[in-house]
Amino acid sequence: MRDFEYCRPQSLKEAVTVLAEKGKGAYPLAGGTDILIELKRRRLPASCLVDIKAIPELRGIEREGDALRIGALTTHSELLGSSLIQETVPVIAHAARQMAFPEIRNRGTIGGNICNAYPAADLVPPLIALGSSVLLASASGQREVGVAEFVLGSRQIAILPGEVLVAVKVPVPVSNAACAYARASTRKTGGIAATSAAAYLSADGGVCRQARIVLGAIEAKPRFVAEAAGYLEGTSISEDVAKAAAKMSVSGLSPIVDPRLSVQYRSYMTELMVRQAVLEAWAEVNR
Amino acid sequence: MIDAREKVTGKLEYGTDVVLPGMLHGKVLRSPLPHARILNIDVSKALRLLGVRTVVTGADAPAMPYTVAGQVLYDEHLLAREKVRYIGDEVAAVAATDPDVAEEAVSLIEVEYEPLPAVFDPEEAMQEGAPLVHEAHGSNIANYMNFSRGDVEAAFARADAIYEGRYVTNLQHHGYIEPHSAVAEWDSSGRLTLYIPMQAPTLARMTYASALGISPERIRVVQCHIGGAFGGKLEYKLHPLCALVALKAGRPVKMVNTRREEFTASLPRMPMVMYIKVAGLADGTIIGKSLRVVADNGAYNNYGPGIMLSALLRHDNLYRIPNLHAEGILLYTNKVATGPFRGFGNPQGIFAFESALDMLAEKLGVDPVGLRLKNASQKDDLTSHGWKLSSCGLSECIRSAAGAVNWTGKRGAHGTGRKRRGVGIACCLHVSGNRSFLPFFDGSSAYIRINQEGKAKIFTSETDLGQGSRTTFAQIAAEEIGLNVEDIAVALVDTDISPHGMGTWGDRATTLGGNAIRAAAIDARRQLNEIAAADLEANPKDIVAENGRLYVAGAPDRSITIAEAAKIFSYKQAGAILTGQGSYVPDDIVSVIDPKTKYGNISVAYPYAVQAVEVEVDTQTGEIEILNLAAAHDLGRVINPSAARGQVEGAVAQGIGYGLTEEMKVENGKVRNASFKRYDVLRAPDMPKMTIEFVESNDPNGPFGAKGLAEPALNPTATAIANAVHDAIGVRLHELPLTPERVLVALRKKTEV
Repeated sequence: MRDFEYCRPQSLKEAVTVLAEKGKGAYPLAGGTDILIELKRRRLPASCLVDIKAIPELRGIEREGDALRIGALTTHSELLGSSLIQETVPVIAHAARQMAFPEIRNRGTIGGNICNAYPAADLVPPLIALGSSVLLASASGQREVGVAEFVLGSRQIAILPGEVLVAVKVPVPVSNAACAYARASTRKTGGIAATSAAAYLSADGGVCRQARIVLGAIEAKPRFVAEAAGYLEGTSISEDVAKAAAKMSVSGLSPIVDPRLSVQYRSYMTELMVRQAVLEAWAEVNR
Repeated sequence: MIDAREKVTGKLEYGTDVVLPGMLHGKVLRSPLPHARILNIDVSKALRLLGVRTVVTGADAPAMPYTVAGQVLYDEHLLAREKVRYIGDEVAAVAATDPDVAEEAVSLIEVEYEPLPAVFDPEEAMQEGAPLVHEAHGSNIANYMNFSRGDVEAAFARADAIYEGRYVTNLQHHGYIEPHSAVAEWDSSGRLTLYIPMQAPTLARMTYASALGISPERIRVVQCHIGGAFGGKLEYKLHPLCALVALKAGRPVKMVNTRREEFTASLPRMPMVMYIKVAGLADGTIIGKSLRVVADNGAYNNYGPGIMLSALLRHDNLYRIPNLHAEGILLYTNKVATGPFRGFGNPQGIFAFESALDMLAEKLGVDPVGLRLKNASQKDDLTSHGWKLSSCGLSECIRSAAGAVNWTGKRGAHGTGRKRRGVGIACCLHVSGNRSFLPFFDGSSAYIRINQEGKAKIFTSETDLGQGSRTTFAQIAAEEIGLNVEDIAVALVDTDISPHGMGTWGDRATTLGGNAIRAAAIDARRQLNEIAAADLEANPKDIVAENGRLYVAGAPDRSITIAEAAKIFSYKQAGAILTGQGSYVPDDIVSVIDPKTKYGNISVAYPYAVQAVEVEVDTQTGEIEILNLAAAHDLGRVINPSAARGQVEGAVAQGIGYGLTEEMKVENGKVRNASFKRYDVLRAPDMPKMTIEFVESNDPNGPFGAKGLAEPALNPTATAIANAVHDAIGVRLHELPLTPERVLVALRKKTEV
């Protein structure tokens, strides 16, 4: 591990000042479950770690109108334990539960899961399917960017120097809408997703009105599958419809390499995961 | 467990916790190429880095090649000389003031390589014109075996059914949590002390003396507490390499493998390609079997021949099969060298053989359990390979395991839905010590000292790998001496103090070590009895001992404590400590196996294990779920029930991993999943429901009847699963691990047919 500076600002204002001062080599440190590994492997050109864990503005889960505001420091364990999330966007709790083990879930944060931009990140596909956005702060102010636009690729995010992720804004699905997440891995517990799918559906009179399907882990970047979503809209979703939509979802994929499993098997499982997510979301909508 | 408190509170000190004054930290530069000539090594930049004390390369290491204890193919050097043979091969090593500086220095060493064509597949390595891994050896064939019993061709000619198949097994890592480590220190007289987590300190001393080109007398090995070994912590190059670096640095040096190094440069399980043919009669009698094994040694030989031999013949002794043929070809490839791993070749051979038996049973129209029971070896059999079965609970284990999964109720009842269920069974026998290992001696010796406070300390050469053998040893001694277990400690092995012996592998610790400790305890007790008899005015043979007190049988009111007796001994002998000595030498030690025919009784006692499983196969995803697993084990006699259960549970976890999830994925010589993140060992929530049954056959050669347990508990697991999958979905899987993808491909092939 190379030498680096460390500081622990006590407020958001102090944090953005430090980040601006230290420039390009400064990285915010939250749970550290990814960044410390990257540092040890010498893959991160960090000269300064700005520990943001003491900043109160980055904590908390609150309802703000039609959306939830989830502080960047909210851990996976807090997500899956929150009754507010269970009541409003249970899919987020479900996705958080899939991630790793209790030890890691107690440390790893929602902000880190997004900013690390690991293709297999479990929170990202459902967040995108729900139409979520991130709130970013810097010395020059705040801005809001959709998660879909923020995650650019494997370990690439649209963050500007001096910026820190403050919170995630998740629209709460209306009463006739739901989101589901399905993922496949090589093991029952704790395995990294080999492929995953999130489906957001809304219905009107037994017919799907709006559909968003997002694939995770299979490509370098979460993928919207517009064709399959369009196919679902205006139909009454059945097993066969879901199957057909799933088939459409995997045409033209450019899967990244996962040494554990072949591309063929992962594509096949992607199809199954889309089918599962669509059917689960549809069942939830019609509950 | 005598060390449970220290373990669960995290206070037990392992090899990585050893710190010596002035100690430096070492790191290894490993080859990034699978096969290449080394043209030049430039260490100047590394040496200029602040904090770097020394850099060693092949030129600093002894020119004489070495190998591990008892082997004859001298093919290793501490650091690569002319060329590198696999990705991970040791090229140079650094000592620096801290691990980060050492790592930085390693990255500053510049090596110029000329890449050479490489060979990764053992069957390709056999071909004419394949790149040679060791040119001086003249061929990639590191070892060749060919032997027969009876007349296998005649048996095939008169068989009612014959099954033939090709089976392939995977490269599995031991997955011990504690990485390899070493701390090396040379004293002013030029004597080396190595603090290492090591299964066999005496073997270490022999091998490392040869690797370093010094007399064994100049090496003291101090065993550290071991955080899991599973066969992977026998001789390991990091230990003598650390000594070499410390010698050049003139300071103590510590070296610890990273997890990545563990997955690229340790000694994982040997993959094999196996061609098997079995023949039977209509009544279910197995009359012949031939097996050809093409084994993947990797870049160095290590204990390869023994591992291949075990795969070739061990399972034959399960049944009364008169006609056998075995051919083994051990090949060098440009991959990580393989080595001993729980089962030592046996799980591989069992996968081919016990899968083939189910296929033969199907062809003959007989039940697999019935077939096994009909042919099962029995107590007092002399097997076709010359093994003397002084105890045998195999049939009882088969009945127990089959009963525990409701075999008769579930076999064949797989259903027709998306998820299908099936049951399967597989058997194994193993050794309790393997006397074919070192030609010069076998057995074990021990001594026990009892001090004036009535506390005993056992000195043995058999190490505790974390499985709890120290507790078992204390229990055995307590039983004979009459002390409470809490008053008995077991010393870690120190070759300056402990007896010299083989160490813990091949299921030898409880059986051989236990016998020696029992003998030493009896000797100590004899001396205690004499002192007590004098004090109590009685005959020594009338003295009984209990809870640390000695008294005349029938008269417990007048007694002396063991502490008092030991004190009397010490005062009379000018401070000597009462010491019991004991050795156990297997009685027909001369009958070492024939090097050509491999015939001969290789162990004093043979443990058996039978596992049966019920699985559910999802025909849509290919996933296999184990619903129930029954493990029936003939371990002779249970000495410590919770340790015995622990052995079985852990082994089953490792066996399921071998069968379903664990595989080091090697692409062009590079391990692609070199971390626990992408190498799937089972964790607690992944474990199925399990029932464990111990069959006590009381072997006459074991201490209180005990035989080995650790290895047999893993051997049959993967194959029992494969057999259950066959019952569930009617397809035979020929390759481990049984991944969902392989299940789907096999199912698709079946529907196409």
